Amino acid sequence: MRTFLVLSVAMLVPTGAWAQEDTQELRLLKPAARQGFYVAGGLRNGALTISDENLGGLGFMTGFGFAARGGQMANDWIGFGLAINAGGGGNDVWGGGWGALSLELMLTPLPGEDFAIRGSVGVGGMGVARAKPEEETEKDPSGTAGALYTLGVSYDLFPWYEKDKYESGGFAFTGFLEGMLLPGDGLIAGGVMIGLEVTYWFGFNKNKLDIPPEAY
Amino acid sequence: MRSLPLLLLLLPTLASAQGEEKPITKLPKVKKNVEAIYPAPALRDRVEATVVLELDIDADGYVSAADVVSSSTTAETVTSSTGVVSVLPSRSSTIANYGFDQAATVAGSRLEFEPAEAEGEKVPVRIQYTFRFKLPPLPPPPPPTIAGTDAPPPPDRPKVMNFTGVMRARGTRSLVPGVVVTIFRESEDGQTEGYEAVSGDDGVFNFYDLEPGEWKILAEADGYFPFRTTEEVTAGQVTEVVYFIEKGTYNPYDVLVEAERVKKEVNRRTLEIKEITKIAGTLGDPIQVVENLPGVARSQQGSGQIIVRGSGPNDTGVFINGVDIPLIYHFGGLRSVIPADVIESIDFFPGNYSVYYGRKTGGIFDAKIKRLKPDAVHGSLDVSLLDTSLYLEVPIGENAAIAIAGRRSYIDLVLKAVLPEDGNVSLTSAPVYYDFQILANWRPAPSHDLQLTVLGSDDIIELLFENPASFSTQSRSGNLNAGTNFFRAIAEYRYTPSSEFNNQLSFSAGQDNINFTFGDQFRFLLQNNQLQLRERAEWKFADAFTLAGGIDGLMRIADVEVLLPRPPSEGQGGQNVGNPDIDDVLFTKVEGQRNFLVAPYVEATIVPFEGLTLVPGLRLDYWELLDEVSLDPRLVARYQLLPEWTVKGGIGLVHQDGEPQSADPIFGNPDIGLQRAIHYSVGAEWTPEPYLKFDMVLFYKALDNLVSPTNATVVRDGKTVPLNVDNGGRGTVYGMELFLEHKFNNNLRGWLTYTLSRASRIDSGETEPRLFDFDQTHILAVVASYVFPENWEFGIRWRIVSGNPTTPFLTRPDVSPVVNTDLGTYVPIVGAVNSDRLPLFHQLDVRVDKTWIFDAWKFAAYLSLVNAYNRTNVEGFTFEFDYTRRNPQQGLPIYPILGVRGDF
Repeated sequence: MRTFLVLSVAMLVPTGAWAQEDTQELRLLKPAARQGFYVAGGLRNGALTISDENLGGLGFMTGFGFAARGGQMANDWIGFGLAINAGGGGNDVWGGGWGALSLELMLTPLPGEDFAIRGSVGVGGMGVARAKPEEETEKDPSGTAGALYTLGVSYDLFPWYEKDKYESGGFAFTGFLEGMLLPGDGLIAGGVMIGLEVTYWFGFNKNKLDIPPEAY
Repeated sequence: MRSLPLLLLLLPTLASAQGEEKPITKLPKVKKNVEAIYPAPALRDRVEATVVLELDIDADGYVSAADVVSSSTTAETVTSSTGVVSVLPSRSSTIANYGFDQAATVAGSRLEFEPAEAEGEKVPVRIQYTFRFKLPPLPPPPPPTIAGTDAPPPPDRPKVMNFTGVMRARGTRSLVPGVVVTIFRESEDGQTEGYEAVSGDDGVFNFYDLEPGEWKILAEADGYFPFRTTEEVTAGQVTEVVYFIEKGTYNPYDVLVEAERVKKEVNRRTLEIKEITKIAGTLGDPIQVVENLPGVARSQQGSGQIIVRGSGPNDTGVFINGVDIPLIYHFGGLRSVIPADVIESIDFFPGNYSVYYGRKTGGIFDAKIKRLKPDAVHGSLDVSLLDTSLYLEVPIGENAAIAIAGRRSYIDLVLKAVLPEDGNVSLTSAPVYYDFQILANWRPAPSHDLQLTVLGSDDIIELLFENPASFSTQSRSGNLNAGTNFFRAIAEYRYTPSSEFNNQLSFSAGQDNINFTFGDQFRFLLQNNQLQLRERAEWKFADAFTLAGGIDGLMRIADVEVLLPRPPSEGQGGQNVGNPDIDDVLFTKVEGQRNFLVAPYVEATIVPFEGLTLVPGLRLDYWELLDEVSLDPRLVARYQLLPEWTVKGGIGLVHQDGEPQSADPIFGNPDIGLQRAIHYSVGAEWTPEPYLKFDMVLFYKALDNLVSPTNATVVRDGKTVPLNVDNGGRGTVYGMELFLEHKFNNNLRGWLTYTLSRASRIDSGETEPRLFDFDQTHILAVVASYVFPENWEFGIRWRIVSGNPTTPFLTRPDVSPVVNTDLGTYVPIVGAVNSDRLPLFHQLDVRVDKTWIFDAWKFAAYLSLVNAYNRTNVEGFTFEFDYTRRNPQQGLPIYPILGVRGDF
């Protein structure tokens, strides 16, 4: 490095400030209901279609499912979690069931609102069999495993949340609508689900919230 | 306690520079001020200081270096009402050790300036910058009383400290200085009474003369969440507390200013462990991250091979602290033999490496064992679907520390659960691996550093084929046993008496055992005892000249027994040789075979003028087994064209012996010689921002004297015997590597790498080149991770790689298969070697980490989805028994890896 000048600068330094770590600005959040860790469980109902490489489409199937989810909102617009889904259904000819373990991502496009876009990707499997075993043939598919993808929207309703009490978290009823896709080996399944869950949001510790001193 | 900043005084002096052509037209100006912490003990003892720093300011206005030029401390003087000047007593006899230098250096390194300019062009400068630590004035004394009318004033009552605390960081338990602690309460009349203290270097804060009762506490510090609580102060007692304050983020990239190592190579990638343990798809294994660097090819799934710039897996050297080890991965290539907990960093050289290394024509991979710091007891427990590992580190006194670590897999449990009981293969002893490490560090004095490392690894697998004929019609036994284990004990001594001289001496001893048996039909038994000595001394004679010299000595004594068919060499189609005659076996047995390798070397670092660095080196290798001597001259040049631009180049000669069997009289040729490679590379680096770096390298490698199979014969001891191999092979490798790195900034870190290359070989006796077995034309990898609040981290890795070359078998239903009537097997019709390619490989891996912070420990969990979009990649082909059809060997589908970890 070229040295052009030697400068001497004197400065008086005020005391009391810490400057050792390269710290990023820490932002405290306004208290809200949809904050912190969450656990949720609920039922879903929907329609599924399966396509087999040999037999073609197997028709629409309706059925029920359940999900258990858990995770955390990292900040006021994105959250991560784990989801376990399972369900079953059928039509006059076919019946089947599925299960998956997925990594879940939630986006809150309008921070402060309780509407979210959520999606997941995970490992899933699906089993298929004829509703009437006597009609089974050798070419019938038995099932598949692969990646399960879901994408949908949800809304959390907090009937007991009181905003003016600087609360964070609470119980919510969560309605959702989502699509799912499981492209497997020789079998592709896709469908739409609608459901209702009960979610508990643990909220943030008050030390992480932007609240007045009297709220502590 | 607080004082206001006064005027900034600027005192320019005469210019003193070398070779400047343009005068400074604009002085640097502070753009971002950083206040230095006033050390609490100094505040307590009323000590002031003046610290003069020398700051190097780059052309962007950032401080690249901050060194203390001088510092002086003074105790405060107080003039009493009677005019007596006294010096306040200091509690510490070592008045200079208040930490002023450190506080000023840290603050100075964080300053940001509007850069200096010379006729409109931003230029780097060096300035002196003074920090004055000035105490606020003491409160005025009480007014004097009139003599004779009032009683004499009572003597000052000494302050009584009745509330003391220590600030520690949650999760790490480390002391946190500089935390502003406020203690306050509201009185009944609504008045607020409060006091403030700042934690010192030791994390301690004190309050004096607090009235008994309940007080509220608020602790705040930059980068930490505020901490609130209430405490009860009792009369006559001292309230002692320990508070754990939580950082805003515990991401692994929170670091203080780091000094970059001086660069003397064309390509050296240094990976710090804290940066790479969460890369998606690598299962937390730091060694696997190397596969995502430029110049490194993707290895076949489960092979654990490291393929660098068109060289074979055995052509790349793998070291731990410069000590040669036989393998870097446990079987299956899922885990390296050393866990991340004991590694500090990994140096990777794809080519043109220093004379410190040798005997390998490919790349060099050297993992550095961490140097223990005796500050506190630390440990971790890591549990994943593959294995469990433990780590514990304990300080011994103030200058020493010891650590132990161990790991055990449970693939055996998983396989036993998933393999069908009626399958053709059962596990007599399921595959299992162990590894262990013991580390010890002792620094008896600042210039002496001793380290002892003991590490070992053990892999075992036993399979029983229920129907050996399904393996081969000639199989007589179905019992397969395979095991690999090794250990090394490494003692290292570093002596650094000054910045002009340093010396490193290491001695290691170890043993390798490789066992493979297939019933009584095949066996490979190897035991290798190894001693290695490394010595390196470096003298800095002047800023422009540094000389280093050393020796790399290695002694191997091996016992080996082999009963196997001749293994296929590179370029012989690998597994695609159809049904070989496995009764055509060769046998060799050697006991006590000694191989002594020694290499003195010398290397200079020359800076003929500012910006240009030349590193010539010379290495002389002696190879006892081959009875050969080789000389490797090497040269690397780096020139800083502009502050942001560096051009670089290198040329170097390296020698390598063949694989162990190549010199064996039964399997190979006892007269075989050394292989040779000349590395050429030229490139450029561009660093537009401190956190952004572009690196491009063009490389060419000329290989000759390669060990290559031959059908020739030779007369030995009066008999005509097959030559087996000779040094008639040659090859070329050329290509381009692009590397775009985004260091941690704005929560984002990652890199993009692209390698375009072509590797070919010409076998002995041939004239036309063919593709190298591991040639991969295009290798693109994108690695990125983003740190979110609440200690979440999300990462991806996406790779797209050309398929490996493969030798096609003609498989057409209309072509009648060829039968070997002697063996009763079908024989494939083989196409030209490596004339086909496997399909394109591409895969996305995703990983999410979450860390929970507790007072004294941290808990982390992660979920990794490998092959997130479930791509069906082809790793090879299997064939029908008559070779009329081939079936793709598919790689692993999408699968999750869950893991949890606790750290304290």
